[in-house]
This record gives sequence, structure tokens and C-alpha cells, in this order.
Amino acid sequence: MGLLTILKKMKQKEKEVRLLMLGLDNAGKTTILKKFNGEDIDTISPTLGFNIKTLEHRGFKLNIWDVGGQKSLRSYWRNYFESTDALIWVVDSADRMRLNDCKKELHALLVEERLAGATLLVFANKQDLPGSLTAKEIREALDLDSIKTHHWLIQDCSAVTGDNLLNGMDWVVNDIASRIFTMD
Amino acid sequence: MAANMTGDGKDDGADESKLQVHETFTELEEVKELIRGLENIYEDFIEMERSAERFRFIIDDYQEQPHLIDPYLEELMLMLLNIAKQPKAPRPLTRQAFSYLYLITKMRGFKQVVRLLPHEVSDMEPLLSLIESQNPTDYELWETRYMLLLWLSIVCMIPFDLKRLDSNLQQGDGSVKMRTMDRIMAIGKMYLSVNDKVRDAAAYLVSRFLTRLDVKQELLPSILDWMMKILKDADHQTVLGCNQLCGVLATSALLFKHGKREDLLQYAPIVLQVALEAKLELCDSCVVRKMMGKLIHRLGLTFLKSRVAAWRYQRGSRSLAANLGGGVVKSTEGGSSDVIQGPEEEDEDDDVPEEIEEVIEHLLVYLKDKETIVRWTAAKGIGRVTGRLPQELADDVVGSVLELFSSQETNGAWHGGCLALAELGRRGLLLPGRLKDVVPVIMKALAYDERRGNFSVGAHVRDAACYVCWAFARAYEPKEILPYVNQIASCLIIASVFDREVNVRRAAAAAFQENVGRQGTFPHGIDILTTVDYFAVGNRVRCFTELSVFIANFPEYTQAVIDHLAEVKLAHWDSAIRELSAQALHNLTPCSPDYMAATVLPKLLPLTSGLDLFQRHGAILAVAEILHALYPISQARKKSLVDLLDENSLEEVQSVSKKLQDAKMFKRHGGEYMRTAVCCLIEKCSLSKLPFHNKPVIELWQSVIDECLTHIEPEIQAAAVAAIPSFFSEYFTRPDGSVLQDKQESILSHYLQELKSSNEPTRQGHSLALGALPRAMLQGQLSRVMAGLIAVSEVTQKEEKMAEARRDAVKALSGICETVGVANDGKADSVLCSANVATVYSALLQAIKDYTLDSRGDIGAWVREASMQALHDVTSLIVRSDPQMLTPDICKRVFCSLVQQAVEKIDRTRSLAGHLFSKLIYHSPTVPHIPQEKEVKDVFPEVLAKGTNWSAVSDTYTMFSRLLALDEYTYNVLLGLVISVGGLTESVVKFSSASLLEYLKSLSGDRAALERFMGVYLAVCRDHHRDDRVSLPAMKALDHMLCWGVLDTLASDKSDSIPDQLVSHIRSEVTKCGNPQKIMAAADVYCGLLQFEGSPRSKCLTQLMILLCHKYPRVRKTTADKVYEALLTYDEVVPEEQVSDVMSVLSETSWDNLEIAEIREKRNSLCDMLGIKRPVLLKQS
Ligand SMILES: Nc1nc2c(ncn2[C@@H]2O[C@H](COP(=O)(O)OP(=O)(O)OP(=O)(O)O)[C@@H](O)[C@H]2O)c(=O)[nH]1
Ligand SMILES: [Mg+2]
Repeated sequence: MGLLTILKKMKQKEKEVRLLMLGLDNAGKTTILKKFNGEDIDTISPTLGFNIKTLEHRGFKLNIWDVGGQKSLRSYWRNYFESTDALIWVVDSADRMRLNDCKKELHALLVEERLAGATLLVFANKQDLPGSLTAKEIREALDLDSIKTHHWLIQDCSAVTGDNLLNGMDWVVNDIASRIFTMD
Repeated sequence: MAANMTGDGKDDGADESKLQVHETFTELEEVKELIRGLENIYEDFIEMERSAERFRFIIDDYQEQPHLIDPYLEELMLMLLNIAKQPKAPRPLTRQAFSYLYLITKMRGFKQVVRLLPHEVSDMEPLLSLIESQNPTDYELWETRYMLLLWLSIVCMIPFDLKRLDSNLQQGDGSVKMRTMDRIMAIGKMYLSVNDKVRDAAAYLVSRFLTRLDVKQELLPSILDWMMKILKDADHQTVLGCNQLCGVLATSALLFKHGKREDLLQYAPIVLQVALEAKLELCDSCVVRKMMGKLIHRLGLTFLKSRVAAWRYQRGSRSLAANLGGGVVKSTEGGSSDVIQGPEEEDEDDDVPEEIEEVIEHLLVYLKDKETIVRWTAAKGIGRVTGRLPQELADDVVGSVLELFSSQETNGAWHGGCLALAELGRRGLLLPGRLKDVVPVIMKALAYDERRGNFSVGAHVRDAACYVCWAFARAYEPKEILPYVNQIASCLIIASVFDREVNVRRAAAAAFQENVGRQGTFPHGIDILTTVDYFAVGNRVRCFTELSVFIANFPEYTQAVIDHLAEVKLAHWDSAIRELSAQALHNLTPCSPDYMAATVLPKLLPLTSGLDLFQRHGAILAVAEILHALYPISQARKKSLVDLLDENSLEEVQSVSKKLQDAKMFKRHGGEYMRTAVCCLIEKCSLSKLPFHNKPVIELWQSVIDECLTHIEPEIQAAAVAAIPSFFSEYFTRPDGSVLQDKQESILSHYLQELKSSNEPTRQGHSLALGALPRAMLQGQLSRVMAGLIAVSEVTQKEEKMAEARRDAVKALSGICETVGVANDGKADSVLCSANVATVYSALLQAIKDYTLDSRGDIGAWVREASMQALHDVTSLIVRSDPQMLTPDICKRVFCSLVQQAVEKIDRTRSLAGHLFSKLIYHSPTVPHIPQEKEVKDVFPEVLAKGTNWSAVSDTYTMFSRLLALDEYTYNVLLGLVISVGGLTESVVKFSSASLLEYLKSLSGDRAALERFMGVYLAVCRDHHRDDRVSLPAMKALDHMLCWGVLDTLASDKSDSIPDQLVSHIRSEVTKCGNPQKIMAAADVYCGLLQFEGSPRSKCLTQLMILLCHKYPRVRKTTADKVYEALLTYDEVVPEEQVSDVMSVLSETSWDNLEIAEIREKRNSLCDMLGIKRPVLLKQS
């Protein structure tokens, strides 16, 4: 295998990105995934396993892993960490009750060694619901400003209307693309 | 270690065309159809094979661009899986479906494919049962098992407690079913030691499975024990042992890769200890060693906390295209306080476990492994592990890697060392302070070339050195590279244009591009990379002769380029590289003439008599080329060349040949190189008018040239011949252009004498030499030289085989005509004129009839081709000065000869003839006296003549056979055509016959025209009576014509009709003929001629009856068969009432076995029945 082969392989790999989408159950992860993929979002039931979808976005191939968020499943999240370029953390902005849970789970993930260096996007989802918290409020509730180990952004959005989903994705892809590819 | 001889060296730019490039996956529908079709054809073995072959072909075709299948991948996988997973489906069907799944997986990579396999909780149970029902040793179904295990690897990732699947373990009959977890583990263990690819899938499965939280807690310790036991006990000298080791090593490497570090840390020391104690670096299997390298590297990573490279956002974006295109992408839009840079400083005081030292030590051993893949793994491992070390220790690793670059180490160590430096470099682990040690080493590696006699090893080292340069570009700030930029840039550029191997040139070009793109500090980087790109460097000749100059025109690179060629490449082991380097130096001289004259030449001159053959050869060539390039520069400066050189140099140039001769270097090993090089030196010194007139060196040079002329190698002769014109002109003529007569006389008489040598190469060399003489040397002696050459060009019985000498004499004859030029009323001894033009043409037109055959085949074709070219060249020369010299007779013969060659049977000859013919009819100025010019041009309109591909059989025959209709050409076209029609090469016979048939059809109904045509045919036959080259194919051609039924309008009503003449001609051809081929061909023709009533028929019958008693049994038998067939066709030949008797005698007699007396009796009875006279036996004379 010479340099030319390495370069060829790298060109292909550089165009591939692995995104891991996590969050409490009912946050809207699967809905976001289906919305991206142009699928019907009316018949979604809680995810008991995991979904993988591959999408093309701005010349990148996004492999998105969506894992169920129910409490019993959370201990298995660790099985999906390897070579993750970005973590997409989905929050139900109307679910004030579980914000503390939400914060705890997120911060537990951020100390994971295998997620070190990954970009973090927080989707403050369900903005269409009356009484949902704003992105600013969620940011405070989740104590995002204490995060120094990851590039992060919080984006308000609604999976049902599709609002701002693309903004978030654009930022993620941009952030990943703008660091050099190390193939590790 | 295999010699690294990649690249054929000659024209390596050609490989581009082989690359199949697709835009999309176009065969989607066909592939789906193949899949759907399986259910209908699975019982038909042959159809299944056909389907498989097609499927494989399509999929293989996308091996280079596998991502094109992505949009359809899921759909195709599911289609196949639905067929494959039915437990009750027939075996051939599921087997083929799995085999297709495997082919797709292999093409796209299993990691991509595995994601698409279904992974619901409900998939688990059926899948497990399916796997458990497999027979692990059924070699026909390994693809099935491979796919099933891969599938299981994704299904077992369900985030779901496996215990929940085990509710009903207690069976009705009281037995207890195994737990799901145990079943999966059992499958994994079993397949880990198999001998096929299923083992890879098993390793992947087990490693995945063991990282599950529940499994980890319950099974990991015991499985690790089990694996350690295998590591300890397996015997790596047996196949089974290697299989087991591979499986276990692969699994543990993957486990430590995928698993959570903190979980696995506790096991790492013991695994490392056991693995190292197995001493697998001594194992013969490179797969085992590679796996071992992987495991050590993963263990190393487990001991150390990961760190994120702090600089990764500073060094630009992922792909270079973005950098080059729109500038470096900003990491995030400013202003938003949402994005925060993580802390860059890690605490340095982490504990480094002592095991790390062992890990690094062993990786360094694998880094020198004799196999590339092992070195690769080790290099990646060193890169990754070092990435987690504190700075100080990391630098120690760099130091150890640098130790590999010593002259005592193998090329493998150099290669591994480069790979490691690249891996360290791209991770930013080579501190800028180390660059001063690393850069010189890499520059050495970039030129690494370990000569092994006539080849060398090192291309892989050079390639890896390019990788290092590429990696630097990505990891360092421009200011850190700055001190080394010129050095790195020069070396990369030099490698990208002057490396012998195309892949290294391309790698260097890629590394250069990366540096320009990310560093931006390379001098003239953008200019160079747009010209010296991936494609441009594919062509080596262009690299040396053009790109070198382009680069040297930038002052930063001039000297580096010149020095590299002069110091390194001129001594390269490949003579083609030395020659190209010398040419390159010629082209480079104008970039820096004074440097060349004052520095390079004086350095090269001592090498011209040095001990190293390659260097000597290269140096002489280069001296010659540089002098030649300096000459016009001195002229332009209105100086003599001598003024540019230092005094010493001139002396040394003059003494080169003498030194070689004194050291007997012309005779010793490699003398051929010395001869060609000195010939080149003679030529270039003469062209540069070096003031050596009347010096002893001239005599020496003359003798070198003369010796080369007798050499058996054509290249050496050619080198001498190339030197002749300039050498003789410069040193054997006076300033007024007149020749030194004593020299002229001695040379001519010597050369003319040598033309008569009995040694063919000597004749060839001296013919070519005479052909290359300058005009002055021929003045007053032309007739003598012509006569000498013409004598060589003639076929004589004794020297029949000297076709190459004849060819060269013909070339030379044409050459001297060109040299002396044309003057209608000039003197025959000085110029081509009316007095000698006929002589020249008659010699050439004689040569075009050279059909000599020997064991090498039609060697006369060389002469004929040379003659055609000469006819064209001389004719062209004459019409450009004085067309009147050409008589109608000469022109007719020239054109008719070309036409004849254009329809003969050798492709190359035909193509040349077609090409030259069309050039001459549309020559400018026009050639006079073209026979039937208007009609010819109707057949060959100008656009068509110029655009036709004359090597295509179909076009050539179709066009030229139309000339059969033109009286002037009929004879020659037919003469050529019968040879093709009656020949043996299938395509030639096919197309030439079709053309002939088409022409004959156009004559149908026109009896007079047909008779005229057959008259010409008979003339051809008579002119080549008993000349089997023509007469045999002519007979076969006649047989074809008779069979086609296009001759039946010929009348046989009067005596001496055409059919009568044909019969008597055939008879005369085969009387007393000993060639059975020809006799049987004659029998065919006789049979065909039976169609003509009257005397032709009865004569043929008589001849056939004679052949029935021929002395060769085979002739008798064949004749009987043929007559039998013919009588069936022409039923009026035999009286009605005799038919059945005649036929039974013909078919029931064993003509080849019986005694001759018996045969004669049978034959005579036939004669009686047919009503012809019994042949009377002539007394044998
Ligand atoms: N109004 C509103 N409802 C949403 C939005 N996004 C998701 N939902 C609803 O929230 C519910 C849960 O959505 P899912 O996509 O299944 O949530 P999930 O994160 O995948 O949940 P798990 O799979 O259990 O982890 C569904 O009824 C969705 O219709 C949103 O943006 N607005
Ligand atoms: Mg879901």
C-alpha cells in the first residue's frame, strides 16, 4: 500500500461522518431522523433497539445512529460510541420535569473517553409546543457553559415542522469538516 | 524480499486508459433481475453458473468505486436476504443468494454492509437456529456462514437484556435449552479456529459481543482465560495452530479496540505478557505477525488515556480541495458564544505504566518486519501509542525510529521507519525541534535506491518518504517548516519528475500538492503543481525532457534539478534513465549555460573514464549532450565554444576516447554502452565544431565508427550511422565544403569493399553508413556507391537469406538520393539525374519483388516495405524538384507495384502500401503520369484516401479491388488479390474473397468483360508458372470462383476456350509435381471445371481419373471424394443409367488402402462407364 492508495482511501473516508443521536426517551430523536430522511413521522413508536440511516448532506455521507432512550436501554449506549464524529443530544423542550435527568445523562456521556473530541450539538426540540423552554433556558438548565472539552452548539428546533433542523446539521458538518482528518 | 521492479519503464503513462470509470451504478435493473431470477433457475446448474458469472462480473467492475452502489445497497441486500434467510428454501437457491451477498460485501466492505442488515430483537432466535444448523466444514457454504456471522454481529448489538429472550428454557421434555448468551458465545468460539474467512467474521462477532455490558460482566473473564490458553498452547508451526492464533489475536485486538478502556485495563497486563511470551515475531505466517502487531498496539492504547490533538482545528479542513478552493474554513462563525474551545493543555504528569516500554520495543521490531503489511500495522501502532505519551517519552520514540535509518539496516527497516515517521508526523508528534534530524533522513529516503546488479530495490522506501512529506504538510505550522522548505520542495519535485517508477512520481506530486496547499510557502508552488500534476508525471519521457525544463526555469530549482541529474541519475542502473538524463541535461543547458560549462562539465569529465560502467556511460552521454547544447549559446554570444569551456575541459573531451581504448573498455563487459556513448560524443562534438581537425582523435573516432558498423547489434550500428554525417562533414571537408579526397577515397573503397562481406551485419552497417554519407563525400563517386548498394539489394541464390542487408541497402539508396538531390541534366556521378534515375527505379522495383522465405517466414517483406518507402520518398523528392524526370513507364510501375502490395496478405505491408499509395496520388506537387488518374481518384476520393485506416482489412480490400475494373491495374491487383484469396489467414481470406466476389458479380451478364478478366488471370498464372507462391493460391482462388458460380457464363463452345486454357494450365502446373497440397487443389479445380461441357469436361475427367491412381494414397482418396461430390452437383456428367454404379465404385473402393493394380482396375471400370479413354501409363523416365 503506497501513498496513492492511502490518499484514495482517505478521500473516501474523509467524506464519511458518523453521528450518534442520543437523548431521553420521547425527546424526538427518531422523529428528527425520519424528518431528515423524508419519511412519514406520524407512525413513530418508541425505539426499542436502534436505527441507522445514511444521508447525503453537502457532499458528506452522514451515518446517523439513533438509539432508543428509555431508561433500560441507556446502559447500552456505550456500545455505539466508537469512532463517533459528533454527538447529537436531543431534548424535549417541553419536558420540564426531566430536565435534571437530561442534564445528568448528558454530562455522564461527556466524560466518556471514546467521545472525547467529538462535536456536540444539542437540539432543543419541540419548540412548536406552547410552553416549551427556549434554547437559552435549556442551555442554562443543562449547564452547557461548563463544557470545555467539546465544541458545542445549542439549536432550537422542531422535528414536526422541520424548523432549524438543517441549521443544526450544517453546523455539525461544518465543525467536523474544519478539523483535520486523522483517520484514528 | 521481492525486487521492486514496478513500472515497465518504457511508456508508463498508458495505464490510465485501463481504468474503468463509472458515473453511476448503471446495472441496477440487471442486477435486480438476476436476483429475482434465482427462484426460477435454481434447479438448472448451468443457468445458475451463468447468472453467478454475470453478477460477479458486474460487481467486480465497481471494485474501484464501490460507493456508487450505496443508494441501492439496502434494497439489494434486503432482496437477497429475503431469499437467503428462508430456512426451508432449497440449498442451491440460498447458497447462491448468500454468495451474492458476500460479493457485494466484499466489494463495499463489511462495515458498510453490516449496518444495513436487520437488527430487531425478533431477528435473534431465527438467526441463531439458522447458524446452528450449519455444518462448519461444508466448503461450498462458507459464504453463507460468513454472512450469517456478520449478521449476528449486528443483531447482538440490540440494547436489550438477552435474558429477556430466555424465558422458556425449560423444554417440554424436561431438558434445558442453552441461554442465548451461551449460544452466541459457542458459535463464536467454534468459528474462531476455522480455516476460512468465516474466522474473520467470528472475530468481529465475538469482539462486538464481549463489549456488551451484560456479556462483559458474565463471560469476559472466562473467555479471556480461554483465549490466553490458546495463545499459550497453540503451535504456530502448524496450520491449525496458526488458524487458532489468528482467530484469537484478531478477536482480542478488536476487543481492546472497541471496548471501553477502563473496563479492559485490568486485563491488559496479563494479555500482553502471554502474547509476548508466545514469541510470535518468529512465526512464519505474516498474518499472525500482523495480528500480533495489532494486538500489541491496541494493548498499548489501553494502558494510556486518550488525548485529543489540540491543534486539529488549526491545521485546516479535512479535504485539501476545500483549502485550495476557498481558503481555510473557519472553525465556527465568530460572535456566537455557544461554541467554546476545549482546554488544550493536558496534564503531563499521568503515570505511564511500565508495560509501555515493552509495547514500543516490540512494535519497533515489527516495524522492520520483512512483510509490508506487518510494518504498516506496526507503524500505525507506534503513531497511535505515541500520541498518548507525554512529550518527553514521545520524543524518545522518535529517537528510536530515527535509529532505523542506518546503512546497516535493510530496505524493509527504512520503509518501516518512513511509515512510522509519517504516522508520527501527521499526529504532530515530531516536535519542530526534531525536524533538523528528520528532514535529512527523509531526503535520503526519498532517493533510496539500493542497486542489485541490473535492478534495484527501494521504490517502496521512496514512496513512504513521500508519505512523510505529505504528513508534515498537514501537521506543521508553515513557520516551523520554513527553514526546510526549499530542501523539501526541491527533493519532492525531483522525485516527481525523475523517479524511475510512475507510482513514486505520482506520490511525490501528491505530497508536493499537499505541501503547497497547506503550507503555501513552497516557491512557485501553485505554478508547478498545476503543470506537474498526477497525469503529467505519468509519462516519463515528458518528465525528463519537458517538465524538467519547466521546473528549472524557476531559479530556486535550477541547480537542484541539474545537480540531481548529473550526480545521481546519470549513474542509474537503467540505461534508459541514463539516456533520458543526458537528454534532459541538453535541454536544461540554456537555463544555466555558465554553470554547465564551468561546474557540471568539469565534474563529469573525470567520470567518463571512471570505474563504474553505468556512471561512465551516463557521463559520456551527458558531456556530449551538454557540449551540443552549449554550441548555439556560444554562437549567439558571438564566441567560439572553446571560449566558454575551460582549457582543461577541451583537452579532456579530446582524450575521453583514448582513455577508454587504452583501458580496453570497448572490449570489456559493457563495451556496447561505451561504443554507443562514444558515437554520441563524436556526433555531438562534430555538430559543435570542436577544433579537433587533424588531431589523432579523429583517426581514433573513425576507427570506433568503423568497428561499430560491423557490430551485430542494430542499436550500435545505428549510433555509428547517426554520427557519420556530422563527423565526416566537419572533419573531412575543407571550409569551402570540398571533400578531402584521400579521405573520401579511403573511406569509400573500404565501405564498398565491406558491402561484399559474407557477414550480414557488416553489410547492413556499411550500407547504412553509405546511405548516411554527407553530400560532399558522394561528389564524383555517386555511381560507384549506387552500384555497390544496388548489388547488395539484389537477391542472389547464395545470399538469399540476407534480407536485412537488402533492406538496408534499399534504405541507403533512397538516403543518398535524398542527400545529393535532383538535377535533370546533372552529372550522374554527383546528383540524381536523367542519366541514373532509371537505374535507381529499376533497383527499387526489383526489390519490391523480393518474396524470399526462410524459417523466419516471409523475410522478403522487410525488403518490400523498404522498397515501397523508398519509391515513395524518391518519387516525392523528384516531383518536388523536377517532375519531368519521371517517365510514364516508371510511374505506371510504381503505382501498380504499390497497388499489388496493398492487397497482399501481410497486414503491415498492406497498410504501408495503402498509406503510401494514397499519399502519392494526392501528392503536392502532383506526381505525373498516374495511370487512369481520374478513375483512380474516383475510387479514392481525397478525404477518404487521407482518412482511411489502412490497417483495417475490410476497407483496404474493398477499395483496392475496385481497381480491378481499370485496365492498367487489373493485372497487379489480381496478382496481389489471388494470394490473399488463396491464402490461409482467416480474416484475410474472408475480406479479400468478399471483394473479389463483389467485383465478379458486377461483371455478370457481361461475357466480354469476364473473358477479359479471365485472360488476365491466365496471364498471371502463366507469368508465375510453377512458382508455388503464386500458382498455388491462384488455383485455390480459381476454385473459389468456380464454386461461387460466377464463371458459368464462360463459353466452352470452341476449342481453346477459356475453360480449355484453364484445364491445360492446371495440368501443366501439376505434371510431375510432388506437392500433394497443390495436386489436391488441382483436383478441386478439375471438379469445378466439370461444369463446362465439351472438351473441358472430358479433359478434366481424364485428369481426375489419372489422379485416382496417383502414387500418394491421400491424393487418391481425396480425389475420389471430390469426384463423388462433383458428380452429385453436376448430374449431367454421367449417363443416367450408370450413375448408381459410378457412385458406388467411387464410394465403396478403399482408394488409399488397396494394391495399385486393384485400384487401376476399379479406375478403368469407371473410365468405361464414363465413356472416356483409359489413361495409359507412361514409362517412367
Ligand atoms: N409537537 C412535537 N412533537 C414532537 C416533536 N418531535 C417529536 N415529537 C413527538 O414526540 C414523540 C416521541 O418522538 P420519538 O421520535 O419517538 O422520540 P424518541 O426520542 O425517538 O424516543 P425513544 O425512541 O423512546 O428514545 C412522538 O409522538 C413525536 O410525534 C416536535 O418537534 N414537536
Ligand atoms: Mg426513537
